[in-house]
Amino acid sequence: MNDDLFGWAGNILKVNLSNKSVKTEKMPKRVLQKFIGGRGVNIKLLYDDISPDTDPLGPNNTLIFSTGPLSGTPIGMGRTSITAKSPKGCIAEGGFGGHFAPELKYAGYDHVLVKGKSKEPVYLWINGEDVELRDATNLWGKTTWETDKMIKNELGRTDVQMAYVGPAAENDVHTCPIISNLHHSGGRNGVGRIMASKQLKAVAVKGYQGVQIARPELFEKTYQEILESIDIASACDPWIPLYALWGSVGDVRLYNFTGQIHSLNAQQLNFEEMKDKANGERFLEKYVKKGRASFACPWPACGKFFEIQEGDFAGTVGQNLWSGDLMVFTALVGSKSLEAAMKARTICNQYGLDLYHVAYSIAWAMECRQKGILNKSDTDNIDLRFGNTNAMLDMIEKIALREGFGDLLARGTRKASEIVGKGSEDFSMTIKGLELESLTQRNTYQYALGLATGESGPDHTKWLPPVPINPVLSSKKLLKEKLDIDLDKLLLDIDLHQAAETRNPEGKGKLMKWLGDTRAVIEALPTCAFIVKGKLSLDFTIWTRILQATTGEDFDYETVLKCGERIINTERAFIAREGFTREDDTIPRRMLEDPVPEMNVEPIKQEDMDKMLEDYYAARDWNTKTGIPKRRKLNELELGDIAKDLRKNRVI
Amino acid sequence: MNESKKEIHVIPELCNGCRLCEMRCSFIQGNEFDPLLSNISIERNNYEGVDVPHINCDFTDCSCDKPECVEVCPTGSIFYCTESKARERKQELKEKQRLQPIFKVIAPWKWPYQSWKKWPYMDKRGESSE
Repeated sequence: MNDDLFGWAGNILKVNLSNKSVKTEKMPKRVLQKFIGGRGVNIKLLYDDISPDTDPLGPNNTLIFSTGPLSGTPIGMGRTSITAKSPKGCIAEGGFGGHFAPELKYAGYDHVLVKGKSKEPVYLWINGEDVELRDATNLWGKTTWETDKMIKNELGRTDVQMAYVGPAAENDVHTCPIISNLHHSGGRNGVGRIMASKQLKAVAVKGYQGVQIARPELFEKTYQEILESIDIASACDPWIPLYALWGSVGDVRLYNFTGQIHSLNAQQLNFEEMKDKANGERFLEKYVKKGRASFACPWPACGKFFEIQEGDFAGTVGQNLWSGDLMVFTALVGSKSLEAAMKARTICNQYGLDLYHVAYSIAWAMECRQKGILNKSDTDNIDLRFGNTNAMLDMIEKIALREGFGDLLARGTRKASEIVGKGSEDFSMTIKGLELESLTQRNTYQYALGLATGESGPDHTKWLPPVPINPVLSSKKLLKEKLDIDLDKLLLDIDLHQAAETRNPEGKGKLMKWLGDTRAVIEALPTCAFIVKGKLSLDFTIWTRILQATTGEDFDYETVLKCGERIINTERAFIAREGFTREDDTIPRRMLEDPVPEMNVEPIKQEDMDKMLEDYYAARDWNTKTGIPKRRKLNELELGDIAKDLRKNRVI
Repeated sequence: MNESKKEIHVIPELCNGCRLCEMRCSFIQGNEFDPLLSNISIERNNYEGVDVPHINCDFTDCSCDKPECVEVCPTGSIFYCTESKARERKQELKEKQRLQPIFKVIAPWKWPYQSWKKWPYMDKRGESSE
C-alpha cells in the first residue's frame, strides 16, 4: 500500500502484452482527487493514453480494469469498471459485481492497464505483488466456465477471483463483454472483444493485504446511515424490499402490465405470456435454489442461484436473472419459455456473449422473416419466426461461433441490417451501433433521452432513477418533512414532479444532468447502482461522507458533484474527439415513427426529442448544436488540457 | 454436553456468500478491511452455488451476547444460540420454506429484517475520536 493514502491502494499495474513487461507505478494523487477512481479514473487514463486514430482492435488500444477507494470495503459491493475504446469508436465501459474488484484491491492495485498484443494466448496471474503472464494456448476456444476450472486446476487453488473472455470474443463477435466468476458479465460495448484481440484470455487475482480506513468512526457512522436507508424494514422506498429479496426480475410482470416491455422487436409493448408463465414469480418459486450476493451486499438475495431439474432444459444452472434478461429472451423474440430464457442467459455467459446484442439481433432477423425480407433458406433452414424458442437457442450458438447466418448477426444488428437492406435498417434497435437493453422509450421520455445521450451507447445503468419515482421523492415539501432532504442545500434546482412526468419533455434535461453526474460518482467510488434508492438517490452528502471517511481527503459535497461532472465531460470529450456529435445522440427510428395502438402509445415527436436534447446540452453548458462541451466549461472543470487537445484536433 | 452453552451455528443453504461477516470481523479486529484478519471466512463454489461459512473464533474480541458476524448476516445463515435452540430453528426453517418461497433466501428469524440502528460494537467504542 501507498503509505500516505487511505482507501486507495495507490498503485497502477501496467502490462504490455507485446513485450510481456509488467510494472507497478504510483497513481498520481492529483488524478485520484479529481476523478475518484473506477470509471472516473479509467476515462482519464484512457483519454490520455490513446490518440483518436487508434484502432480499437489493434495493439495500441488500452484496456483498463479498475477498483476505487471503496473497493474492498463493505460498501464497495464488488463493482469493477472496465474501460477501453469501443470497436464502435465511442467508449466501451461497463462493469460487473461479484468478488473480483475487492480481490484486486487486496492485491494492492487500483487499476490494471493493459496495452499491446501478445503473439500467443496468455493469461495474467496477479498473486499479490507477484505478477506473471502465463501461457493460455490450451485455454483458447474454451468456454468461460471451462476456463475457470482449468486455471484453478493449473494454479492448484480455488480462492482466486477471475475475469475472462469466451469463444465469442475470440471470434471477434460485435460487442462481447468480459465475464467474471462464471456468472457476472460487464462491459457490453465490446471490452471482451478488445481483451481477446490482445490475446489475453483471463485475469486471475489473489490479494493479501487489507484496505486502510482514514477515519474509522466516521466510516462506521456513515455506513450505518447507508444501511438504514436501504434496510428492508426502515427504507422509505417501496422498491427496496423487492430488490433486496427478489432482485429486478420481480418487476417484470408490472412492466408488462404497464406496457414497458419490448415485445416482438419493439413492435408491441407487452406480452401475454408474462402474466402466467414467463415471469419473475415463477422463476423464484420454481427454480431459485438460494440467494447469491456480490461482495458484502447487505441485501439477502438480489442475486440468486438457479437450477432446472426436469423437462427439456434439465441440468441448466446459472446465477441471477435480471429483468432485462428475462424480457429480451421471452417477449422480445416472442418465446413463451421462462426455462429457455434461463438457458439462454447461461449460454451467453459461457460463450461470453452480450445477451442484449444476441436477443435484439435475433429479434431483428425474426422481423425480417415476418416481413418477407428473409426466408428460411437464408437462415440456414432455421425457422426464425417470432415465438420459435429452439430457433433462438440454436442461433445463439451460431452467433458465438460465427457459423452460417450466425456470422451475419455476429456483426451486430446495425451492420447486419445495412448488409441485408430492403428497409430492415428501419427496425434495427440500435444507438451508436449498440443494441438497446429492453427499456421502452415511447412511454417514458426520460429513458429516450438517457439512452440517446450515452457516451458508450445505450446504458441505463449510468442514469436510471428508481422507477416509478416514489411520490415522496418528487415533492420538495415532503422531502424536507419526511427525509430531511433540502433540495436547495443540495443545489438541486429541478422541478422533480415535472421531471417525473413520463410523457412530458419538460424538465428532462436538467434531471438527466443530475442523474449522469451522480451516477458517475457512484461508479467511481464505486458502489452498486442498485442500492442508490430512496434517500441515497438524492442526498449525495452521505456518499461524500463515506468517501471522506475512507480516504481522509478533503472532499466536500460540491467537489464530489464536480468530480461527477468532470467524468461525464471527459467521456463526452473523448467521443467528440472520435467524431461523435449531436447526430449520434438519437434513438431508433421506430421510437420516432411507429405508434403502438394496442397500448395507446404514440411515437415520440422529433420536436420533443430535440427539445429534450437541447435542454440537456444547455443544462451541461455544452454547445446545443453539436452536443460538444464548450472550452469554457472544460476549463471551469479543470480540464484545460482536454480543451487544448480538442482544439488541437479541431473539435472545438 | 452443556445445554446452555451458546455457539455459532451455520445453515450453509442460507448463506449467499456475501462475506459481510468477514468484513465485520476484520473491522473489529483491526479497524481495516482485510479478510486475513477475520475469524470467519466463506468458502464459495460458483459452479454449484454453494457457500460455506468457516468459523474459527473464541469470542474474545466481540465478547457479548451478539457476535457481530451474526448480527450483520443478511440471510440468517449463521446464528448464535444453544444446541437445542439451533435444532428448533432448523426445523422452523424447513416448515416455513414449505409454505413460503421467500424463506429460500432469508431465514424466518431475520424477517422482516433487523434494523441496523444498534450494533453492540458501536456502543462499545462510542464515537469519541470524531
